[in-house]
Amino acid sequence: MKTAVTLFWILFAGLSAAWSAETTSGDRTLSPYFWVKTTGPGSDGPGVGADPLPLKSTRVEATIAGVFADVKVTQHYANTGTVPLEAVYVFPGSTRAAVHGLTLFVGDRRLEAKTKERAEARRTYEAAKSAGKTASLLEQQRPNVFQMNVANILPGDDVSVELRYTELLVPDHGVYEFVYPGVVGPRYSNKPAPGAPPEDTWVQNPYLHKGEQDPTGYSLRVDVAGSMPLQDVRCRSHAPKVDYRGQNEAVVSLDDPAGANRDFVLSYRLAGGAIQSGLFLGEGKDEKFFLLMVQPPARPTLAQVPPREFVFILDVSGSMNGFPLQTAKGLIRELLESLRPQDSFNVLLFAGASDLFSPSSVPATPEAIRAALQRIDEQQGSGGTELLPALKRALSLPQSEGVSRSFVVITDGYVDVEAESFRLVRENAGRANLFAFGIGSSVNRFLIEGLARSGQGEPFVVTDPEAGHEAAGRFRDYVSMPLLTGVRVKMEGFEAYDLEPGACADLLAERPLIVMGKWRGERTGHVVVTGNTGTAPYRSEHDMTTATVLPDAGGLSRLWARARIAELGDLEGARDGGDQKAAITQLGLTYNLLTKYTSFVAVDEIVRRSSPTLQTVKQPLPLPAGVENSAVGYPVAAAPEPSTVALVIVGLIVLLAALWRNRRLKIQEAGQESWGETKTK
Amino acid sequence: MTAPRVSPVSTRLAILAAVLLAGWPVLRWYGLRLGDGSDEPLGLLALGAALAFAPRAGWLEPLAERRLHGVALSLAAYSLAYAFVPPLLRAAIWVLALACCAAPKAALAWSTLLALSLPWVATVQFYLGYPLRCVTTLAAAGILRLCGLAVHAQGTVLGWAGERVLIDAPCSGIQMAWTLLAIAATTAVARGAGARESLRLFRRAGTAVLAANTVRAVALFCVEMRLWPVASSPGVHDAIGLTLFALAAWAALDWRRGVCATAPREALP
Repeated sequence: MKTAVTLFWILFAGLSAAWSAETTSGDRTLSPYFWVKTTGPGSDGPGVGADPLPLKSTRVEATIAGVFADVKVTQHYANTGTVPLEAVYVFPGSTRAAVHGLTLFVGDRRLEAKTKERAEARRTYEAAKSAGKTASLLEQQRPNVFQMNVANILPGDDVSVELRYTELLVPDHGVYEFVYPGVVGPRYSNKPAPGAPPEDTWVQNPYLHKGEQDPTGYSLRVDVAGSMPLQDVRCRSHAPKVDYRGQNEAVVSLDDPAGANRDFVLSYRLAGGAIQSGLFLGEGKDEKFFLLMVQPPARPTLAQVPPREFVFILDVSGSMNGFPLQTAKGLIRELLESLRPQDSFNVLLFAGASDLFSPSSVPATPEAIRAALQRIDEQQGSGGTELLPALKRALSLPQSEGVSRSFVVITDGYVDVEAESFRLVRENAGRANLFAFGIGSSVNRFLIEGLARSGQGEPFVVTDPEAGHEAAGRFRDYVSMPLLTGVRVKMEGFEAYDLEPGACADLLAERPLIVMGKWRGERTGHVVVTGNTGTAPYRSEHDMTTATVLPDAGGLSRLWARARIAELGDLEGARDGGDQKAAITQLGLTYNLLTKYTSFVAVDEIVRRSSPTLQTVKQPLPLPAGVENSAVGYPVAAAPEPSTVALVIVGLIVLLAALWRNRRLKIQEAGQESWGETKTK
Repeated sequence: MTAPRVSPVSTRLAILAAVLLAGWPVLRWYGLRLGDGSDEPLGLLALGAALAFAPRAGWLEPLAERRLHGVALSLAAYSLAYAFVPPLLRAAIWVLALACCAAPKAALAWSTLLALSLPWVATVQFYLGYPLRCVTTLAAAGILRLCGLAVHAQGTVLGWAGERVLIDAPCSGIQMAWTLLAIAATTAVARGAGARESLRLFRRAGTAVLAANTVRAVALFCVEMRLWPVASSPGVHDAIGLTLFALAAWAALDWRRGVCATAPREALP
């Protein structure tokens, strides 16, 4: 016993030494955190005297004319504290937005921002900040995540920053949708905080708890003007006021501070379900641009579809807890139940680790579907979001010959590994299509759209439980039969170049085929689109002479540049895609666009701050609606000791038991001794 | 023949009164600490046990010279350290003086009981809690790895398959250690155990508690990770904790081999 105890103490000492060695190598990772309204040095909150919430309001004004939306976002900052501030605000943008302008208003001064190479813009901003000049810097952290820094907001100041972007609205099933994203959801990251790249540090942002009131004002006005009478103007996400100004025009307005925690989604149709298609031209001073929108052909009747295999990759992490996971469960239930017995499926659940339903896909029998649904129903939503290992595992699953395979990724997309995911899918999806479902009130559309683009599939975004059913229906249509395959676009009678996209993918969704490019020469000739509908060849012609000439060529040029940048960005993610940085930077500088490598910076040349103190305040963001606190800091299981009172009671019981046992042993020993003595006698 | 006359000043009672008088700041601080809610007032249990086993006779007899030296040295240290050391350590030094003049024949065990009556738990939790939790985490991770689970320990967190179990402040085992030491000390005093036997018992108690706390962390990790078909709840946590504590207590207080199975070996001072 003595030896055992000695060994235990040696082990204790050894473990202590090992602990000392291990704790020195531990690293914190980048991660969002809950905002705590604390002040003082050393706290995560703002310092003494600093205004903890410098962003006072956001005002969005959008003008939609046909398929083009021009959006102006005005952020109003004020300092009600007693020390000068630098405000840092991370906010979302549309994945299709071509951000082309920024204006800083300081008092009655209006300062137009310049587009500069990212590092240079940062240097300009930092120099102005140190010099005590009011300045603003707008950087793109992701194509749908922007960061605004405003330095030297003095006590009592009112500073406004106005940014402008253009966006192309692409109808789906004849429905136009304008989306203004409300908030950047908290991202899961496993990257170590020390040494993290500057474009990733924004992940470390404060969040308000679920249900905590965000005092920032939020208002929005959308002017919609169609070429035909508008129908079904509605907003599923909010309850705005809709004011019709005639058959073709409506003004939608909203003033709701609580509405910034989710995407604003406005949808409408044109009379008779028509879509505004055709050829649009923009003739600038140096360059001419065109945009072709072709209405898709009707979907053919499904004659015979080969056996299909579906691999569902479902995110069951902490941020999916609640409505997103419940909606995902319902969605998978609908999709599984629509499969035919000759189809097969598999399910991979992932959070911090992944759990595969079956080593290889199983036939979609009622028993298999029931078993899979039971496994899915057991999920509660907790843990991290290790998307890459899950995708890798799913993409490496064995595939049967003669089976059409589709991957279906279901997630809210709250990760920071977008580029790596796109590359993984592009390099490993093979002949399979990948469909991405984003579920949540404010999903990471960049990830969802990028995954679908990389996997030659379609993105779906489900913002509320009711929309899940509709999305499942659309998905069934898409995977049953493509609308148009072998698409080719040919220019006849005029010279076109720099086409976007370079090659047209199969058309799966009922949304127009879009081609953009530059052209030279006279306005003659036509654009010919050919393909196959599945039952017959397809051909449509669009004459240059009857094309719509837009008064402002800048809009088309920016949209073309935005599309080109997106494609270069995708290539950048590919292993053999090369370095596209120079090309993206050049496009950003030429077309005055915000990109990964170009930023906007505006500096007021008046030195306004004389005191040496400048507090940096990160504006806390509300949690997206329906997202639980577990997305930021899920409760970690612990192993607390029992209460001391219970321990005392148990200890005394053991003591009494030991006393009783001791007494019995003594009696037994005394009995044995007296029996021995009797026997001796 | 008449017994030699004892000076009233050299009686145990008089020296005890002097020690109590010298320790009035400690007593006042103790009273305040009991009521300020920063610690569970369980020290009173240990104090009650110490008072119950305090000597009932011999108070008017002179204090043995060795003990008298102990009292003098302790009080000197108490006086010198008064301005420099925190109140808890000051109290511990004063308790030593008290133990020197008032302890029964199981002096070490009784002194331990008296020391345990001080509000140690929160302080020990603060200074030793984290290292103890780290050791528990590492030991638990080692055991789980031996069972074939790829568990890693990071600080006081056990991680496995993307999930985490935190060995947080209430998991350090300090409450279990305090309770078992208090019971062991009470038992040792009741049995009149000598210093060597008492130390052996305390060592066994400490070892048993550390082992039990590690096994408890392993068991609760299995519950939290659903490796056991038991749903996690406070009741399950308590049941596992109390069962392991009972086993630890049994191992420490084992009657056949423990201190209480043997007759007291040491004579009164």
